[in-house]
Amino acid sequence: MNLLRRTLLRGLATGSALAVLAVTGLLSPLRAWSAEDRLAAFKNKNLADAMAQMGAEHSVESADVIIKAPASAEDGAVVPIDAESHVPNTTRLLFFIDKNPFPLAAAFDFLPDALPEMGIRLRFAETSTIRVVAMANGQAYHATTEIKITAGGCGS
Amino acid sequence: MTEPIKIRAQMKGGIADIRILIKHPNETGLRKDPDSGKLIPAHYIQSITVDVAGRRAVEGHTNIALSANPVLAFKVRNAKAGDAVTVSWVDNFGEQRSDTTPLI
Repeated sequence: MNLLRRTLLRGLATGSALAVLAVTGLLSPLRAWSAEDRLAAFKNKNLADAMAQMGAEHSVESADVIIKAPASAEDGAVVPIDAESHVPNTTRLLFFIDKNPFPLAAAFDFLPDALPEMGIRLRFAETSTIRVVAMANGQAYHATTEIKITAGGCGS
Repeated sequence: MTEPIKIRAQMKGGIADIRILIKHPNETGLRKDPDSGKLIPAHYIQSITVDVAGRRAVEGHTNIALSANPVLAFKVRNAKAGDAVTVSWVDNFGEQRSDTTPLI
């Protein structure tokens, strides 16, 4: 007990405790975001920056992420989107609409009882790609599809 | 002033199928009042949670891209008929609403 305490104290003194924290952070299945980070991502006008703020900057395309949505919608204000992830251990789905004024549209966390799939209705400002990112084991996987909007969403 | 959340929660093939209709304008802040010509302030849902039998199943965050009167659907395991399904939301005005229905 004393030895452990002394080691911890020494670790703190030398800064190696930071390394320990970093390692445990990497091993945790779900990276935690502060409310501030999330709010910033929702207000970000740049797609790449918003993706990075949500930890999805290195997202890889995956056939295990499935988007079911109409190829075109007359009304951009109400576009039904169904998304599901077959990536094991998916804990979060992120919805980015590339050409919206704020690309991050929604972020949903699925606790162990919830299947990583959902239906939602989103607003498109104009014809745009939608990308759904599944976060699993600290990695990001995505699928994209383009939805053609024949009437405006955000302004109408 | 909020309106009740409509929740339909049914067991289907051993899984709870939960469909939600939230009555909310979800104003984008980009739309003008046709009479005054002034922008209508943004008024939108920022968080949505779903609890089944007192356990958190889903926790989501949204912005102005969520449609007005949004419809959402989720699937939850380890649930049984009679379990309480509670859906809650909070918007950027600080308004909130929570409604519960039994799973059938």
